[in-house]
This record gives sequence, structure tokens and C-alpha cells, in this order.
Amino acid sequence: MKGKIKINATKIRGMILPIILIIIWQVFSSVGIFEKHLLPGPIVVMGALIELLKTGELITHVLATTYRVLSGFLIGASIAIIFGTLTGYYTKAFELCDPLIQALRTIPSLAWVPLFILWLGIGESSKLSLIAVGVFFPVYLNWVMGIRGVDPKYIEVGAMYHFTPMETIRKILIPATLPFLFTGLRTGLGLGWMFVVAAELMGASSGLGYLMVLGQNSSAPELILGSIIMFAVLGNITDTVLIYIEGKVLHWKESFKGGENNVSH
Amino acid sequence: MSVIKVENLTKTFGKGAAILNNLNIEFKEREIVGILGTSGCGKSTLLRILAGLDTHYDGEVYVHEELHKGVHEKIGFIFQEPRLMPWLTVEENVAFGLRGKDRLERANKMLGIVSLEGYSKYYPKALSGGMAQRVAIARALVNSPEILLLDEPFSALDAFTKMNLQELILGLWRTEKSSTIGIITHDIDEALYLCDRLIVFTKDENQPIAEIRVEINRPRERGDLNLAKLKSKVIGLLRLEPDWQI
Amino acid sequence: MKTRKIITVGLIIGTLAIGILSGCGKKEAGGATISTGTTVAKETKVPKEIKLDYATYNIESLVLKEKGWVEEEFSKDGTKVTFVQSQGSNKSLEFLKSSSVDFGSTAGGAALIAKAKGAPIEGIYIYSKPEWAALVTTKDSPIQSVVDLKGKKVAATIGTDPYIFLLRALDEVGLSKDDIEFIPLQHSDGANALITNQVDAWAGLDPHIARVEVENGARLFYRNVDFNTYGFLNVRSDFAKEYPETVERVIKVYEKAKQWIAENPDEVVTLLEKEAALKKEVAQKQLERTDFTESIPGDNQKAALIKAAEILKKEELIPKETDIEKIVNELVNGSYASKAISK
Repeated sequence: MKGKIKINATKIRGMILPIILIIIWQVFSSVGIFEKHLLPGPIVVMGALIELLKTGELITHVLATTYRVLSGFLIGASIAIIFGTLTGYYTKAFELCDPLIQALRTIPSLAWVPLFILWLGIGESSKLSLIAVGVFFPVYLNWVMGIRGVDPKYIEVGAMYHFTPMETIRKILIPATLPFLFTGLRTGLGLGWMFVVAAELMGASSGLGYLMVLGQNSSAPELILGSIIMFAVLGNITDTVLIYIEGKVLHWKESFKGGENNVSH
Repeated sequence: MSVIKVENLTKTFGKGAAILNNLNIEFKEREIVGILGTSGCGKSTLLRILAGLDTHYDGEVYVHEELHKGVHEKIGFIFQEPRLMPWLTVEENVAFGLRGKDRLERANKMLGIVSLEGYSKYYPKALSGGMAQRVAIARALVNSPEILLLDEPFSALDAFTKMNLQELILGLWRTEKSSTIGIITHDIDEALYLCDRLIVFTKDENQPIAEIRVEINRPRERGDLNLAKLKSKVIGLLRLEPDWQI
Repeated sequence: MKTRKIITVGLIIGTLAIGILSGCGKKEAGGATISTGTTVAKETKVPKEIKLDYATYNIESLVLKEKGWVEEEFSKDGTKVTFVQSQGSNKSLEFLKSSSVDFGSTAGGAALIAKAKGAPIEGIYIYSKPEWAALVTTKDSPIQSVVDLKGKKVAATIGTDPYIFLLRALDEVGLSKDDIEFIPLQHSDGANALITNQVDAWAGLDPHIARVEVENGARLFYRNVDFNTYGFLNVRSDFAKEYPETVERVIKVYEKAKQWIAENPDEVVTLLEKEAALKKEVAQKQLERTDFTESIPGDNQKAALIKAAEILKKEELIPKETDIEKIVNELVNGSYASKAISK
């Protein structure tokens, strides 16, 4: 029983601030401090979202955007892991490729948009490529850092048992680097959501980003806000799923659970 | 006949002076050899070269009179820390170096020998220091290495666990699970209790300063006066009396 | 625990402070909540700064920018004059609403949409009656008429006259936006997308249409003069209320530009070539399709907007419950222009 009560208290504590802010927002809107053609109140925004839900448009847009993010994420992450394993393990490959990748990494994400649209057009391929690029870098960097940072003590144990390079990679490097991988995946996923906005602002005919453009250009700021809210919700859901998977895969790890928990009361 | 030996071994780190210089050391069949010394004297380096973990040296290493470089299948090594893979269960850790369908079976048998049966499915984060080190010992022994090398294996453990594990090592040697043992320790009591021969180093010399035979029959008594006498001798050799005045 | 309480209280106070401050800012700027806008000089009725937009679809604005007549007019008041480029009605409306410009040029239909959704603007001057929107396709495209658009990719900028044009053209033949694959792109990007065959058709705007006609042999497969809703110069209502004289003076300068255009046709082409980076033939084509006769917003404009409103309601760009006549009357305000031009 005690455990159950504890969880609810934590959840409630987490909801206090958002609820207060929403109430303040609505009050300001009703009173007129926030003008309705610039910042409509939460009730208007929710109304717009519900309308879209009723016509089925919301589902269409949500699915379109989510599909783009997840596809781009899978592509970018896979390439990052394969590439990262090579440069992580083979020093020559690392010396060859890493400087280039570091240079490309510093290019601001949005700078890729016009370039990709120029090369790949305004269809799906430019959007997925954009998202994949965004996801690639954090996943790759964390993965390589992880592999190259694996405690050589573990590798020595493998050496004592005559491990082949494949065995070393498979049995020691990859499991030891998984925690870094998940850090990279979570960051990458967040960036994927960011890149999909940029991708959908240019020439998308569906998706939450398209909804934003529509709202922006037809004086419907409630669509802009509604779209932002949906992004936040979806981003949170996907992140939570990833955290859950991480928890299952990394159950063997000792981890820091917060300063207060280390002191016994 | 020597089981493992080095000839003319010289090891230098970088551009400094040689930490080991023209060493000639051998371990004979059925010996338990202790390598003793203060920190920084090169004993870990020597053991790692014997094990094949360090291959940058001048000189030769012979295993069973055959020239060899690098790791050898007859040599097992136990590190100072347990170095268990945190993502594997205890039994999977013990079976780490094994290949074949019966690896977990053999692993569990070894767990029995180190008195950890029942802990097979535990993860390393749930083990105490002593238990973890026992798992590491099981892992090193599961291949039945003829030569077992240990690098200060018990230095991080409490006195009682230490004594238990020392008995374990003796038991393994007695039952010929491992035939020849080399152990680095800075615990003089431990060395005298376990070993037939002590090779003593100090950090000022890159050669051993003494070799001491312990010709007391086993089983030895920890409180034996003869052991105590040998201990004073070793302490004297190591010049362990502090040379600063307060 | 204590720290958490302090943080919570602090955040609440912080949010309230922001809200109050922006409310205060509103009174000063005489406009939107989140802006800096113009600052009030207490005694005079002239703002310290005037921001106007300029665009390739508003030829007078290009003349004014080049000639410096606005700066001249307001030099004795010490008012700073700034010109901001707009890529389309949608952008001008954004700028107007956020007080990034005080005078914004849009198509009438676009202004109507914004007004119906609560934008506090008024159209105070007609800078042209252009035939600036049309449906365009490539030279070799199989598309011959509006019905051929079914299932095709069509680009347009949401919230602009070409967009409304497209909707009306579709409606005329019994189609709607759902029958095509609509790709929202800004005007110049839409033109490029057509030329690179990424879309099958484009509801375009001059001079971009003229450009692809001349340079790429593009074809206008549907034209309709009446579907164009005039070029409006808009201001925010509270700006006009606070600086009515300023509004009149700007209108006067606009008239001066219009006059100049009528009297110097060749120089206009040269100006367009320079300011809008257009080839000579392109500039000429655009001018051909622009009528400068009307200046004062009145019944003609109202009628055109009311016609456009039908389709806007249908496509839900204007809320269903909008009182069209009321909104049109509030938007089309010829009072300042009548005063300015008669004097």
C-alpha cells in the first residue's frame, strides 16, 4: 500500500506546475491580456484539436508525422550503429572518418533543409533523409564514444580467453556500450521530432508541421498551438517508450536514483 | 623442468629507466611461487608478461620449455578486481571463456567448488566483493588452466574472506585443478602461508633482491613461530621501517 | 522541500509578471501583445518610426523604396522609415499582426481571412487592380483545364490570392481541395517546384508567373480576372486611430508613386528590372496585367470580397458563423484615402 501512495504523490507533484500555467493562460486569454488573434486560450486550442479529431484529419496528420519520424529514426540510427562500430573498433577507420564527421556535425540542422530540398525535392525522400541526418549524429557520437571508452580491463579478460575481434565486439564492446547507445537514441529521437518540423514546413501536404503552416498562413494560431501540443505529447510518448525499453535492456546496471534516496531517513 | 620461465627479460616504460632488467625467473612443476614487493617495483608487469597480456619487452618467455609470446591456453589469470561483465549473470560470467553446448553446466559445477551454488542467476551488482572475486576465480578455473597466475587477488577483501579464499587456492592446488601457481601479494602473512618460494622485489632495484624458501610442510599453521621468523626476515629485506622522523 | 516551494512560488510570480508586463506593453505599442513596435511621443501625433513592407507584387512600394519619398515626407518630423520585404500576403499579414510593419500590402481576400479571424486591420488604400493570379503548368504538361487537376499535385501559398483563386477555380467545376494533392509552398518555391516537375500545376502570383512564362515557356491554363481581389494597403486599427494624419500622408505618397508610374512607363520597367531583379520582358508582362485606376477602397472592392467570402466559408478558412457583410464593411475603409486624395 505504502509504495502505491508514494507513486501517486510523485505524479501529482509533477502535474502541479503545468496545471497552474494552463489556468493562468486561460485566465489571461479570457480577460483579454492575450489577444485572441495572437495567442488563443487553451479552450479554443483544445476545441480546434477536437474538431480535427472528429473529421479524422488529426489522426491523418499524426500518423503522417509519426511515420516520418520513426522511419527516419530507424534509418539514421542503423547507419550510425554500423558506421560507429567500424570506426569505434578499427583505429585506422576512426582516424579516416571521424574528423569529417565532426566537421559535418557542427552544421546547424536547419541549414540542411534547403540543400536536401534542392537535391531530393519536396517529396518524402528529402524529409526522411533530413530526419535521418538529424538522428545519425547523436547516435553515432555516443556509440563511438562508448565503444572507444570501454574499460580496457574488460577487453583484457576477453584477451585471456583468446577472443577473436568479432567475439570481442559481440561479447564485450556491444553490451558495454549499450548504456551510451540509449543516451544517443534518446537524443536522436528528440532531434528527429525537431527535424520533422523543419521538413514539414517546406512542401508537406500532411502532418503536424503542415498543420502549423496552415495555421500560420490562414490566421489560425490555434492550429499552430494545437500542433505544438501534439508534438509535445507524441515526443513524450515515444521518449517514454524508449525509456521503458532502456530499463528492460539495461536492468543489470547500478544507477543513480537521486540524491535524497541515498540518505536513510 | 620449468613450467614457465623468463630469460633476459628487460622491460622499460617509455624513455625511463628499465623497471625490470635482465631477469631470469622460472616456476617449476607443482610450485606455488609468491612475488612480493612494495608498490611500483614491477611485479604486476612481470606477471602480465608471463600471462601474455604485455608483449612489449626484450627477452624471452618459455612455456614448458617452448618459446612463446602472448596469451597461452594453459595459463589462467586472476586480476586484482573481479572484472565481471555486469550485463551477464554469475553463471554466464563463469562461462565467459567457454565455447560449446555444455558451457553453463560446467560453469555451475565450478560455482559449486567456490561455494556459490544457488547464485547462478544473480547479477554482479548484487554480489559482495568477496563473492565477486570468487566468481572471477571460478571463471579463471573453468578451463582447468595448468598454470594459474594471480595479481593481488585478495587485496581488497576483508581478513576472513581472505583466509577463506586462500584455503580455496590451496585446495585447488592440492586437488591439481591447477598445478603451478604464481601469486603477487603485498601481504607477507599470505605469502608465507601459501607459497613454497618467495621472490622479493623493491622499487629501487630492477632485479629481485632475494629469494626465500619456505620449507615448512603443509598444512601450515597461521600462528607458527617459524613463519613469524621468516616474516621478520622479509620485513628486514624490504626495509619497511620508515626512514622519516616525526 | 522548502526549495521546491520557493521555486514553485517564484515561477508563478514570474509568469504573472510576464503577463502583466506584456499587457502594459500592449498599451504603449498600441497593438499586439508580444512586440516592441512604435513608441509614443507624448505631444505629437507622428510615430517615431514607420515600418512599411515592399514586395514584387506591389509596384508602388518598389517605387517608394527606390525614390525615398516616404523618408522625404517624414523627414521634418524626424521619423525613422523602415522597409521590410514581404514574400506574399501571408507574410504581410504576419508582419502586420505582430507589428513588424505598420503598413502591409495584401490581396483583399487574404486580408478578409485574417480580419474574420480577429486580426485588427483595415484596408485603407488600393494600390492596384492586378490580374496577378492564374493557374500555371509546364509547356508540355497534359493539363488543359481545371478539371484535369483532379488527383494532381498543385502548389500554392496558403492565405494568399492565388490560393483563394485555386479554390474558386476548383469550386467552379465541382471540385474541392480534397480532390487534389495540395502542396503548400511560398510563391517563388512554388514556381521552382513547377519548373522542376515536382508538382503538376501551380496557382501562381505575378511576377513569378511572368518569369516562368518568359524563361521556361510555362502556360497559364486558367485565367479569371474577377477572381482577383485587388491589392490592398492595410494598417492596424489602433495605429490608424492614433495616427490618422500619418495614414493620410502615406496614402498621399502612394498616390504620388502611382502618378509617377502612369507617367513613366519605361522607367517603371527599368525600376522593376533593378529592384525586383526581373528581366525586361517579365517586367513588361507584369505591368500589362496591372490596372492602376482605382485608389479609394469602396463598393467595388466590397462586392469582390463578398463573392470571395463564399468559397472561404466553404473551405473553412473563415469560421462558419462569420457575418460576411459586417466584416467586409469593417475591413474596407475608404475614409482616409478619400480625405487624402481629395485635398
